[in-house]
Amino acid sequence: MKNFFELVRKSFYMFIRDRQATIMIFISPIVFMLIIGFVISGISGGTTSVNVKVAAYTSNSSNYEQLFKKAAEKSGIEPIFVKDKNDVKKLVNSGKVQMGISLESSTVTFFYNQSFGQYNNYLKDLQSFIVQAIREEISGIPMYIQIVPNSLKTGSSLTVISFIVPGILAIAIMMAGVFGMATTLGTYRENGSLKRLRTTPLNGSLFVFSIALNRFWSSILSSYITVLMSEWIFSTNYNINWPLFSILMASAVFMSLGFGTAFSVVFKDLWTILNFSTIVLVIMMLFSNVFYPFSIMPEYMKVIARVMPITYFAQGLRYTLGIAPVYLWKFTLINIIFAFGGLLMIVLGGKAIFYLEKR
Amino acid sequence: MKETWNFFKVHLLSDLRNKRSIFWVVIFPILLFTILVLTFSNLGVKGSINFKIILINDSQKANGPNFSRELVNAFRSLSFPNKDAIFTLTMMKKKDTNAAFEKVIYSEADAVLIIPKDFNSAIARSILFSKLGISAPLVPIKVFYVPNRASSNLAESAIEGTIGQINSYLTARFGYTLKAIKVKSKTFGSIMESPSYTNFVAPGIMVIAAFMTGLLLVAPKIAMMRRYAVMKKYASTPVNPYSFFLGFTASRLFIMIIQYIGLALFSTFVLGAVIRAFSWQAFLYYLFSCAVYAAIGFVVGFIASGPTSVGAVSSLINLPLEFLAGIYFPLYNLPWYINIFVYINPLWYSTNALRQFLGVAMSTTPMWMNILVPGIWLIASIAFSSVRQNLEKE
Repeated sequence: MKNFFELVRKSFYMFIRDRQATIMIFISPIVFMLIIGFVISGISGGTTSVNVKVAAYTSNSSNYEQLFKKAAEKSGIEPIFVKDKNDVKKLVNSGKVQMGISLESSTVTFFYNQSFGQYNNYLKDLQSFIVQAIREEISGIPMYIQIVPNSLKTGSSLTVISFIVPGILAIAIMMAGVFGMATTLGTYRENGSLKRLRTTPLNGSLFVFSIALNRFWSSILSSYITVLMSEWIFSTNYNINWPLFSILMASAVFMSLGFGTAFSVVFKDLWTILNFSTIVLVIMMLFSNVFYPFSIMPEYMKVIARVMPITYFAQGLRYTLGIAPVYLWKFTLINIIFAFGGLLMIVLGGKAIFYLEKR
Repeated sequence: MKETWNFFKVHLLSDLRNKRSIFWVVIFPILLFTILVLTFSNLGVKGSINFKIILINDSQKANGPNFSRELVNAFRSLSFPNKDAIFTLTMMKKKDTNAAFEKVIYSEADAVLIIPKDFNSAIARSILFSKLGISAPLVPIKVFYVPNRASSNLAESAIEGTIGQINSYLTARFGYTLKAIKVKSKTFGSIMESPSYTNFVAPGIMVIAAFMTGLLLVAPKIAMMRRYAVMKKYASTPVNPYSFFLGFTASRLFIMIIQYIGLALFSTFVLGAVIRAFSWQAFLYYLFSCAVYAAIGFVVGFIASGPTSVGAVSSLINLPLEFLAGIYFPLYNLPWYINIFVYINPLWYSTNALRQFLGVAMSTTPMWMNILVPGIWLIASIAFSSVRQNLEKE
């Protein structure tokens, strides 16, 4: 026990002297969150709501403006009326709006900006709803039914940022944990330190666990800072359940440290460890429901997402941040699997690394 | 000349024999390209969007037409397993309403629609009133959803969007028809009609490939040579130092050209991209970009304390630079303090320029800026590397 505390103390001093590790764990989650948060919320029309801004020009101003306002309400878009058709083109070209519409007698023209890339597919789906609504208004078709939305759960309304921040936080914490362990153990392997330690009575599992413990507290601290930064910068207004948030972060950090240890066991050199970790994290990021909900994913992606631990990490985070409830049994199971899985990988990984250094 | 050729050969062959280099130069860009195409080309398109909705038909049996059954049929026509369905419909009974709400709250479904008890009589009344020219209140259909859950929010919007179609379907029985209108669309800045995601991302992947070669095949080697004083040893021989730099840089550029050809062939023949991969403008600009990223690689190599630091730095800056280049997502409405990093990011200009030269879309930045800003990076990097090399020589 005394040896273990000594190991932890030594790891602590080495950690706080390691600038790279500090940057990786404290700065990179915040930078990552800021960049991706702003990029994704930017194309969605803003950080305050999920909306599509449309510049609209109507030739017969009063009638068609009313008509278009009604059509816009039905399609959930925010119209910005302009007096000149060229203003529509200017606004679309500059990217201040995502789409433009010109409504003249019985012709409606939609304008898009190619630099929105794949996002234009979603806008073109919206186009069909808008056209339908305009046709109904022009045709004088009486409406008999209307949808009355009712909220099942009160809370702050959804914004793009509040949806994606938990996912970004999950990725950032995983990256910090994986890279943190991978860098340290990879460096020790490469510079022969582990080989030398192997000749002592030191227990491999305890040694690796002592390193993990220092990355553990720093990752937890980093997660608190990142969430508070997102509240401050993006005004996300989460209803955070701090005890559950802390439990989830603890178990998820163990899981990510476990993965970092596992990669260090599998690959001998630091270079390969770091780059393999990058690939795995990119795949996790793109194939999970971190940035987009399951409902817009094709079937094969849903299957892949369901085996990614980061999917469940993001779900758990959304629960603890008060965005989307999860059954308590499911939340408990996620935490148990993460914590035990991570600890197992750290303990067995430590044994394995020392064993491999024997050869 | 002979010395330059020798350095070129040595460094080229050492990388071509190195499995790690082959992986980062050849396999990783192809892997990333494939993952991106698999992820984003089918995301959010018709056929992949699907919302799980629960429909509770609480309406009473009508003596006349059963409008509620028609409403249910209308939703069924928009539901799986029909082609391009956007809903997966589950029917539940009124007594199971709380269970239905729980499913939505706990993400097992996205929304619940309840057709009210008096739906049939209310519709019949509305029809009669409209025939008499009297306005009648709209018959409400309640939709229950969770506003701060993305799927549920989108499901509610989708239901609102389709209710117009359903209303038209109902009113068609009474002789109401939709007037036809002419619909046109125009995409600004497009070169091809509707670029697929594959076409859209291909130029970005080529830029990433060149950038990563600069970061991972130039910087670590320079850092390693500095650490083991290899360049100091070269300096003690009659070899001209410029021969080393020319030969080494030429070997990197050769690798980047192989990458370009490989990615162009892969994107065209395997992923079905329709790009002007072998246009001379695209190739020339690509060579220019390669020179820029090789120079940046030299800078990183001179700054880093060793190859390990290069690995750590590249892990940190890679993804942010790629996101801020508009390679994965378009960049709009960014705050000014983030835009600064976009405007100084050479990858952004390279991606825009290559998109235009490859015939995908017009560059969103003027072409002179696509040359000027990376050019500034090139000159500054060469200047910095020269100064550092001279300082270390002493």
